[in-house]
Amino acid sequence: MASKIDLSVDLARLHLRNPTVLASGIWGTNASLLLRAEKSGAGAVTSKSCSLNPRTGHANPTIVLNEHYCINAVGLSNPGVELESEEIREAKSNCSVPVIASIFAHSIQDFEAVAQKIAEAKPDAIEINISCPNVSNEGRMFACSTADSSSVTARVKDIAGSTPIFVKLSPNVSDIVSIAKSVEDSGADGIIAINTVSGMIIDAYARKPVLTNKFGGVSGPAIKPVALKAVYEISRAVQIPIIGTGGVTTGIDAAEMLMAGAAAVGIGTALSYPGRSFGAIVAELESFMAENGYSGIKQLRLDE
Amino acid sequence: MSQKRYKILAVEQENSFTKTLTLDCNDAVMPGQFYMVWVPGVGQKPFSVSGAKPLQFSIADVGPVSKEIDSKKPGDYLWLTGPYGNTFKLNGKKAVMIGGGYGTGPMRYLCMLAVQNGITPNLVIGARSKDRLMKHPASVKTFLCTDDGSEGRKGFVTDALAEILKNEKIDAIYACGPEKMMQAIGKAAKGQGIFCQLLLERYMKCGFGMCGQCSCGESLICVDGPVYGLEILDNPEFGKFHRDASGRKVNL
Repeated sequence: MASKIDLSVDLARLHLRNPTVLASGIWGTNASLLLRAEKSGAGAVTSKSCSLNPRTGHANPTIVLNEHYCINAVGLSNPGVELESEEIREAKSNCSVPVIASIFAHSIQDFEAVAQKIAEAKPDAIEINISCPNVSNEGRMFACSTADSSSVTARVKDIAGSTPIFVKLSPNVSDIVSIAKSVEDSGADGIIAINTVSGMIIDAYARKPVLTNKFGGVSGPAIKPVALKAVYEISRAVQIPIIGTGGVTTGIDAAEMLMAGAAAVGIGTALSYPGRSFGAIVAELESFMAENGYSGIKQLRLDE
Repeated sequence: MSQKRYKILAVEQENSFTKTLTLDCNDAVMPGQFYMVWVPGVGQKPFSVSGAKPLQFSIADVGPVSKEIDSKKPGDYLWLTGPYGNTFKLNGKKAVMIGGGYGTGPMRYLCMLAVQNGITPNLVIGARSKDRLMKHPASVKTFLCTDDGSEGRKGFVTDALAEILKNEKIDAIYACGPEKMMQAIGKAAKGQGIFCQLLLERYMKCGFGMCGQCSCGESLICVDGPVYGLEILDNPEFGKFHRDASGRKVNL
C-alpha cells in the first residue's frame, strides 16, 4: 500500500524526495551536519544564515527548550560568507538532496555582497533571511516593510541568476500577506514562512530574563497555530510555493502544514525532542497518507 | 527541560585553579553527563559532573562564568538545565582512568563507580604543574604526572599508561582531557586491542542537539556523546579542530 504513495515534491526547480526541509539555524553552518540531516531523511537542507563578516552571536544562555517551545537568541552567529561558501561547496559535493544556502545582512549593499559570494558556491537555492534590522531604515526589520523586502528580493534575484531564491518571512509584522505578495512581485521563487515569533522568558527565582539578549525567537509546538494561519493566508494570495515552517514535530503536523497550503515543510526545533528525526516524521506522514487514501503530497491541500 | 535552581551545599578547593562544588541535587547522573550551568546576570556554560547524590562539579577558573561560579559560597544558588549526554560502559576487572587537567573530575567519579562494581581502577592524573593537579581518592592506586616534574612523574600521562600496560593486564581505558592527549591514548588502546572510551569537550550553545556548535564531523557531542569509543579515531575532525562561537574551525 505504501509503495503507491509518492512523497516527492517539486518546488521552484528543486526536486525533493520528500517534503521535509532542514530549517535554517538548526545544526549550525557546517557541511558535515547538512549531510547528517540528509542521512536522517531530510528532503532538502538549509544552512544556517551567514553574513558578510563573521559573528560570534550573543552570550549564553542563548537557547532554552521545553516541551512546549524553544526560544533562542543565538544572535545569528556564523563564520562569515567567505568561510561559509566553502562549507556550501563541501555540502554540494557530499549531499544528494538540494542544498539551500541562507543569507542575511543589515543593508542592501551587504545583501548584494553576500549573495554574490554565496551564489559562486552554487547552492541549489538561496534563502534570504529578512528578519534582521536594516541600518538604513532606522534599524527596522527588512521583513516589516514591503519596500525593503521587495528591494532585497529584487537585488538578490538579479545576482542569483538562475538559482532559485526563497524569502523567509517574519511573523512579527502587521500584515505578512502583503509582504509575501511584494516579494513574489519582486521575483522570489518561493517563500519560507514563518521565522520565529518574538518573545521573552523570565526566571522567577532569578528575577531575571533567562536569555542574555533578553528577547528571542520562539519556535516549536507553541507556534504551530501561528504558522498554519500564516501559511494558509499566504498560499491563497501568492502563486509561488511555500516551505511551511513552525512547530512541525510529527508526520501529522506535517500533513496539517501541507493542508494549510505549504508545498514543503520546514523542520527545526522538532529534531531536539526525543525520538524525533526526519525519518520518523516522514514515516508518520507516509502512514497517515496510506491510511487516509492520499497518494501524493498535493492532494493534502485544503480545497478552500 | 527548563532551568532549575539548586543550592550550593559545600565548596572545596581542589588546587589553586579549581574548586569542587556540591549541590543540593540528587539526580542519578553518571560520569560523562553534563549540565548547562547558568549564573543569572553572568552567563551559562556546560560542565561535566564529577560526583552525584549529591551532585558535584569540579570547575577550573578559566573564563568569566567559571570564575563567577568559583566565587560562590555555600548557600548561594546555581541554575541547572540537564543532565545531558551519555556515560561510560564499565568493562572487565582492571581499568585505567586518565584525567588531564580539569578532565580529572569525571575520571575520579568513574573510578569510584568502578570500585563499587568490583573493578580495580588505576587513576592517572596529569597537569602542567603541581599547583594544577586535582585531588585523588586515597583508596585508588594513583599515578601523578606533571609537565614540569614538580610532582610525580615528569612527563605525559601516556608514559604512565605505557608503564601500567607493561606491568598489568588492563581490560579498559577511559580518558578525559585535551583532545591530542586522548587521541594518543585512543591510538595506544587500539594498538593493543584494549576497550577504550574518551570523553570529548566542545564549545556549546544549547546542550541538546540544536545549535550544531559542538559538532565533530557529523557527530554532535552533546547528544551522540560526549563519551565515544575508538570509532572516534576515524572521525575526520577528532584531534584536529573544534569550532568557535561563530562556527569557524579552530585548530586544536
